[in-house]
Amino acid sequence: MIVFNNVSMRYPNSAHLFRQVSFSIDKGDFVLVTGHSGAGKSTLLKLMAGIELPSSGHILINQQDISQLHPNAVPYLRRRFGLVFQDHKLLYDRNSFENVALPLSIQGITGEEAARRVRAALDKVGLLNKEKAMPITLSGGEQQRLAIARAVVSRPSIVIADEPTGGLDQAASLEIMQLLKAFNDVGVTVVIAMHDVSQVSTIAYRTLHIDQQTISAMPAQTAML
Amino acid sequence: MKNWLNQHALAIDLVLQRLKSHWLNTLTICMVIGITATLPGLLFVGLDNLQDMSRSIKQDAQISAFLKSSTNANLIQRLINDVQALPQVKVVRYVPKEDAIKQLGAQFLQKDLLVDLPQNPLPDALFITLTDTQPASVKPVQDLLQKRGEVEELVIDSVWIERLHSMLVLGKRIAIIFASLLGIAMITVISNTVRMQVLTHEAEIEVSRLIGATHSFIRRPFLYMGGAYGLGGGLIAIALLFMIVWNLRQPVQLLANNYQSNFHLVFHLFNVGGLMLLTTIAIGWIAAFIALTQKR
Repeated sequence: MIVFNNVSMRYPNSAHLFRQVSFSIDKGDFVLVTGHSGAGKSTLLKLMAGIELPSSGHILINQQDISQLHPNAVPYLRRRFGLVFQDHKLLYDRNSFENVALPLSIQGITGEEAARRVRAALDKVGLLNKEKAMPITLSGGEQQRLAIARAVVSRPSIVIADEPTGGLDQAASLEIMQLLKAFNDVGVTVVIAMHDVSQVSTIAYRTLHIDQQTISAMPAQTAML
Repeated sequence: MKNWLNQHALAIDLVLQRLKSHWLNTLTICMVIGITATLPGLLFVGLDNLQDMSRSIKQDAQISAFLKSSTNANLIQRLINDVQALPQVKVVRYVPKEDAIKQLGAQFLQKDLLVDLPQNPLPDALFITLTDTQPASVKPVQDLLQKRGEVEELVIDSVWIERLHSMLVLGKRIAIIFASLLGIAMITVISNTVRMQVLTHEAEIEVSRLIGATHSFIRRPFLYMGGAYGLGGGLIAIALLFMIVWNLRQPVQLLANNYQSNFHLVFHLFNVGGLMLLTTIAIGWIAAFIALTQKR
């Protein structure tokens, strides 16, 4: 599903984040990308989603080399992903319903169909009763759940989450991880960047650990808190 | 196709919401555009009316040839035949001096002037109507008449129409220059406003881009916004022009009546108004496009 083939990445005027890394993520995987701050976890996720392009090497998403894509095709690639950001990136001048409906609007899905899917997504993350609430009135955990609802509303095959539990307390973090696992259980590939693996509870996961410009893939394991 | 239409409908809906939520700001910008567009619009309405007037006058344009008193009937007939043979000539009307004095007396004094005058002071005359008033059409007729010894005096009625045409061409050019300068001012105003909107919605643009919005999707509401400002401004300009023309109609008609003219001021809604509306919408659209290009 996602294949990195000898991928190197460095930003202009800075050192390499990774050199010639290769790994693959299969359909239905639950993958944690770990490493210290500044190791390049977020960059790795951005590469997967086509937000950044590698300095060299090939990234294949469903056997399509994204570095060969025409710039006009990149937005359509991104629609295959559900993106969750550490800072939520919610629109604070729109209510919960409108925030979740945004990816559907982008795809031209409106009306009853959009409303049905938005409510289903809000229901899955437990915010159906807050569809009219403005994001500012929601707690940190609720805002992140709203961001997850927005990520999954267009039924992506891959959800990419960058530090989705950052800034949340233990209980809220656990809720978020369980939510992401629930999507994984129905076949969605989930890739999460996080520095604190202790928040993962009873979840079978694979790890991609970034350290000193290399990525080591670890086999599936189950964490128990 | 349905999704594409939905995206356009969404963009329009979003623009209407934004315009409505900042209605005072919207009204101010539309007023600025409307008043700015009214000024060249007024010039165009004036020129349009003058053009209408010149068109109606053109049909009566003629050369008057006053003949020497010694000219006999045969010479007059030969002259008429020669003039009539020219392709630039539409009609030649011969008015003998006897008819002319009778017409003059009947028209202005309601009496026979010959009773009071020792002799008829008027000459025989030819009134030549031309196919058009272009100099190229006037010249051959004028040359022929000037060469002929039977003609005492020539009055070319089309000269002043030519001057009017030249003034209209000049006026149009000035109006276009004036409109272009004000158009640039409008573009600057709308462009700045749209740019402010872009900056205000930067977070939304960033999120939309990250979750798969195309350039078109992101740019569309701003382009529509520019077009909407142009539309609003254009409608205000049309309303203002309509009021100005309505206000001036009666005094202009009174003035025209004093000159025995049935000229009346009109505002061609579909020609001038439609063109103005299309222009302001296009200006709004272009201004938004410039603002978005600067952003990138």
